[in-house]
Amino acid sequence: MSELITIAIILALYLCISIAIGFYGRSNEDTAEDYFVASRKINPWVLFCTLAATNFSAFFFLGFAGASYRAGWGFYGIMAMGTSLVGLSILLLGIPIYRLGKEKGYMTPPALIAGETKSKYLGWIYGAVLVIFTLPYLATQPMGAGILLETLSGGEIPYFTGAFLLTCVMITYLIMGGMKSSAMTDVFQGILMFAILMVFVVGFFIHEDIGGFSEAGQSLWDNKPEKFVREGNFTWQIIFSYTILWPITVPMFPQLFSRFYIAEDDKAIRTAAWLYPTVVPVLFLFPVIIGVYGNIVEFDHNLTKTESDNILPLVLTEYAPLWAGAIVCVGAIAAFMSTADSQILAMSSIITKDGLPAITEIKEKHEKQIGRILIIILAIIGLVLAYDPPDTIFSIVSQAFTGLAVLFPTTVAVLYWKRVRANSCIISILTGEIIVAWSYWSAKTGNPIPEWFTQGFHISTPVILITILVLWISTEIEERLSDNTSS
Amino acid sequence: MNNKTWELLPFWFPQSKNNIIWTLIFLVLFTLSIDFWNWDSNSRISEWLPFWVLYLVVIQFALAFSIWKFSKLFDPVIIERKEKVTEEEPEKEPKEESITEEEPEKEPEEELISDDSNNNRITNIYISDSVINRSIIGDKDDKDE
Repeated sequence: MSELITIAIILALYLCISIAIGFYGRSNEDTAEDYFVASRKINPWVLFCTLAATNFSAFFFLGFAGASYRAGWGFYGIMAMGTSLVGLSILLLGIPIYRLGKEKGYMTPPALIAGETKSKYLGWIYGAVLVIFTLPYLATQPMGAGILLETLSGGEIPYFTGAFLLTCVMITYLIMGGMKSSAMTDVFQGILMFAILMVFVVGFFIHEDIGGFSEAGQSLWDNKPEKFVREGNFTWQIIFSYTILWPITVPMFPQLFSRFYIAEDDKAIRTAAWLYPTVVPVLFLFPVIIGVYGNIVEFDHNLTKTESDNILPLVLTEYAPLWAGAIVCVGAIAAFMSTADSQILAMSSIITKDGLPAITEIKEKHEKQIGRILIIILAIIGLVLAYDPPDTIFSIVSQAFTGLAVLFPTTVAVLYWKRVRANSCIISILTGEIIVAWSYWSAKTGNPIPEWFTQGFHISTPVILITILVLWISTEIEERLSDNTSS
Repeated sequence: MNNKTWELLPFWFPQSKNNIIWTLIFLVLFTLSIDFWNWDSNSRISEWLPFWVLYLVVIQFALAFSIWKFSKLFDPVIIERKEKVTEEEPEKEPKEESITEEEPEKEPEEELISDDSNNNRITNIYISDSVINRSIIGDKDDKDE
């Protein structure tokens, strides 16, 4: 019982600070623009912290460690370079999105796409894809929180209770302050999770049972040398696919896309763009190290695929005193909450600003209230999806990420291509999503996508290639058809 | 390559010579990161860190440096799009302010605003040449040509 009290005190302290920052971050202005895009006044450093904390989620904290436990160091190759390339995407997409948002008052991704192509249908499809594929990713956040608290407390805090508790706290500060509160808590949560993760990794290696970096390395080399090499774990085609996928899909997350609107100026986005790849190479080492070196820890039984997502809390309970474990747990919870709050807020703003007005007239003074109600509804949906997780965190997000990547060619074309046409974008998105659905269905029924289609690459690579080609070719066809009609 | 030719290129193609150079730099870094020639490497540093991981970290720092340099130059132009012509909404007059007096080399308006605005075309855009030169292609490219 005393163990539970220790965890409860540390957790309560963290949650109180989060709520206090959320309260501090709330604005006196009572406008939808202030609530959804923080009045477009976020400075470069806060923008960088909120971009990073929003992107580094339960997948980063638990999914990375779990996958690295299974596949070894090769998983660093899967994640690191692609995520560093996100910096380039931030620059290339962030600046035009920021400028268009400021000039034309866009607050959501579908608003920009619909506004620039003058096609409400494209806006609806774009928004629907964002919401549909963000929901499973959202579900991984309470999943992660539930797993962590249950493992750390030895089962005294049930999985769903932990997930429910953290969701409630998140709703509280989101309802109070919207985007500004979300960004402010992201700064606190981001710094906290990275600092704690670094201290934990160093603490793990200097533990007397581990004996330092070299001894741990030798022990792993003697028992499982395959964890050091990529050969046998991942082909170069798979790493190529993920390196392409991350910079394409990450800016398509509605919670990331929306953050391009909140910058106070161009400089904020430029700064975030180069800081991102500066931080990622080192930061991503930490969860991977925990996962890889989890292989030298002896457990009662061999961990199953889903159980391996618990490797971080399992190592914690094995090597850290409870109070230290609870603090690391807080760092991980910070990662979940900073992502989930942004996802919920982004989806709430999409539905409030783009979805509901298509059905009924919504007055501007009511938008903020509706956004708050949607936050509660979306959080409940996330909890329901997390109630009985179907797969590992990595498998869930891989599907969601491929579905979102389909939007990238349309987004680039809308921002940079004068010849873009709404119908071509719609065809491109629908084609891509049909292939994603086919891939999902094939996996479910045990009939993998044929080799001739993927050529050894991850399904996301042919999907992205096909959506680009479809968009390009259908635009050419549409142009010629309209030229013929006019002549 | 003139502006019309640039416009005919597919949307994923870099829109200026400067951008082509930067694209090549980023492609080289990307290719170097997928070091398939070293795929079965098992050499380690201090017993615990694979050498290829350190190599990848270095590549990423080179990428960060490149993005930092590129971020100082990158200045995309916002494409001004003409309002879509719908039955409910009569065709609007072209905005005068988009063609400024400071642009002596401007093309005749007929060329800037394409004829097929009546074909439900959603992207009839009129960007002055000087804006394209300054922001998409860059002054340097003009000299190169």
